[in-house]
Amino acid sequence: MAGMTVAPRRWVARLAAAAGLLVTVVALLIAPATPASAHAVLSSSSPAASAVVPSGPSEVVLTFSESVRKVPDKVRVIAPDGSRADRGEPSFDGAVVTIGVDPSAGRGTYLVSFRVISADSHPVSGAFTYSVGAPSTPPVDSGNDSRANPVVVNAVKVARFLGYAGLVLLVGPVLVLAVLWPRRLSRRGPTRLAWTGLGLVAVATLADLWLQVPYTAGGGLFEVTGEGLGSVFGSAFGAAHLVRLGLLAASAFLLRPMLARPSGRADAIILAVLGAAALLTWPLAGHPAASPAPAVSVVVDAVHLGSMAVWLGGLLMLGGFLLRQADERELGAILPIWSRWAALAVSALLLAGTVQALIEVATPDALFNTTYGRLLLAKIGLFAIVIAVAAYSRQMVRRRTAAQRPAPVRRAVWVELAVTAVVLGLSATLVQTTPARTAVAEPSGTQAGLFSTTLSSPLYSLRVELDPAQRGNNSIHLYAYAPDNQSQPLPVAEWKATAALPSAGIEPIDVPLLPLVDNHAYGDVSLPAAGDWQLKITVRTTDIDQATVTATVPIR
Amino acid sequence: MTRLRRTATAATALAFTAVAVLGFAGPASAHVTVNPKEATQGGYARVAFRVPNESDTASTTKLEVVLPENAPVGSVSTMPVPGWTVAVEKRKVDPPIEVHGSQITEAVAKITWTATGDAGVKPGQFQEFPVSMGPLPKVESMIFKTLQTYSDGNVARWIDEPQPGGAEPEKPAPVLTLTAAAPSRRPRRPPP
Repeated sequence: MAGMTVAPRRWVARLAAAAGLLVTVVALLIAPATPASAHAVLSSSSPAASAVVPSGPSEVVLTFSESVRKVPDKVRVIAPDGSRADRGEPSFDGAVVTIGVDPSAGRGTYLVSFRVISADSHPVSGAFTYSVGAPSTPPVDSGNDSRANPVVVNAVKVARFLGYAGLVLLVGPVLVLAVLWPRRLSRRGPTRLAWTGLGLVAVATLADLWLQVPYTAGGGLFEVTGEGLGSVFGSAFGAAHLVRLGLLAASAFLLRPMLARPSGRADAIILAVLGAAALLTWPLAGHPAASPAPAVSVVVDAVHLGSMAVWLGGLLMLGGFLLRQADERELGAILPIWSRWAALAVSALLLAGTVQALIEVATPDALFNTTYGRLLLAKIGLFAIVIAVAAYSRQMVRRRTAAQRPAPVRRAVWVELAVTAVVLGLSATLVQTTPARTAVAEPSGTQAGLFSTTLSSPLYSLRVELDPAQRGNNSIHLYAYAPDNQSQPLPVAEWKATAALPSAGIEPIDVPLLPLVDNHAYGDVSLPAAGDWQLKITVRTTDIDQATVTATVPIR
Repeated sequence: MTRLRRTATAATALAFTAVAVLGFAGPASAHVTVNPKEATQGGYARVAFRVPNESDTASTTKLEVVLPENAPVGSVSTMPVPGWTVAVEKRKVDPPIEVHGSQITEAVAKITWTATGDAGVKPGQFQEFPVSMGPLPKVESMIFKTLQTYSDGNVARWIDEPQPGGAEPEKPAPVLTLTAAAPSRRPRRPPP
């Protein structure tokens, strides 16, 4: 390298940069081709969750809120006896997953467990049961745990954090060296910092790629198969990361001369374009790619990330090198420029962050009721502290006191950096958390709003479920079991039910009931008022045996 | 769906109106009953099942009376009702019951009266189906679950057992209260 003249080296660097750019453009054209909208959630299924069907279905159909991709062998149907009831490979068609099922696997409760990857590259796993004929004790999925290993989940967060930290370490020094660095001072420290940053980003990117395999397929840190890697590389997530690696390599060529000495405008522009393209690979691999407005989200997220890197990187340079090494005259020239940059970067950061939050959180409720929303609130609170400190520093720069007495500014800069490190950590967690707009839509496990009780009589015991137990239309499910054995379904000859609200003078309303199987009936009833409704159910088990039971159902 | 529901609502309203206008023409307590309502434990009794016709268009064409399982009766005989045939269904009794010193292993489980020709109970009429039986078991009461079949296929099921609270169920089964034989012992329940 020493023998090479400057000109050919530049030429090689530019060629490499152009090649990187080409790869990026191609990837950008391909990657957003899969439109999407969030972490997928199961929106419906056939048979429906908890349903009792008269005969075994030949397929189970899962419909997600958005298109999903397959994880090999992670969609399973377990028969009541614990054996696998799914047959063949499940077929994936956009948001719909169809699983072939052995229809002759017997009566009882089936468990459907699934793990798929949503369009934003996050794995989604879940399970539900349905019953053929009559419910039985649900079987247990004896296969691998379909939730991501906690070690892997945390490792992914660490890798994301390292990636952000690396970005800050890379962008700050490069920017300051290219534009603000006094010629008098040694470039060695910042150069070393920049290479560290580049290395960190590269390592974090590789780690991301590696971890994505166990993260999506389940399993430990080192349970990475060729097949798993192949499917990660084939995804938008994999493509975005590979492009990032390519862009990093291309930038490395340009960076070498730029870091060594002040360089020309052409190189700076190419590097800026490469940097912008690389920034886009972050949102393309994460939530923004799956937001309701992907184009807006991706651009906004890249701006968010970029302004963060400029601001924090610059602060780091300021606190670490300039405020310590530069003299008063140099600081007098540098600080006003930096102050303007910082203001611009922070404005962009705030604006982009607000837009992102509006898209990802969607409703004020979600802000307080979801983990994502709360993390976001914490991030905003910390950010407010940082802004206050920054405003103080800017004030000092404005008054021209900063250049003469850099110590207080330096302290302020370090406070800003410390708090923002926490903010970055929160962000690393945030990008791994289900966005609030989806979290709110996710059905909760406890099924709030469902009223359920078991009534007994000498003839039978009766499980009553009323959903959603609110004013308006409610669906009623009735399950009859033997009086002494609640797992033994009891055939019913006739069902009758009435609903009355004596406190409001509402006389018994007939509830039309439809027998689904011989021990399960279903009905729809409109309950016009809130209060303690009396649900009176008459179940006839033979020609001449019947009994009436009454449940008090609180309706909100 | 909405149209269906509206139709259903309309039908319900119509049914209510029909019941309101026509239904209450008959006596309010037009239940199937057993008469008399009381007999003595250990004795023989002649009782009649009184069957009112609650329908306005259909006749009662069949009556099935199920004898209580917990209180077998050794001897049951029916009185002929003109135009009706009677069938008696028996069941094994274990342990056997003693009637006049002889062990009886079978008891009547169900009596079915079926109308022949146009002998059915017409709207606005009632019919009695007399039965003689004994010795009556030593229980407080006998519950005769009864199915009344109409010519239009509807079945009125008089099978609700008396409720602990005393509230009258919708379709009460006929109940024969049995009092102890000894004159010195007072009946545990006053006659209704």
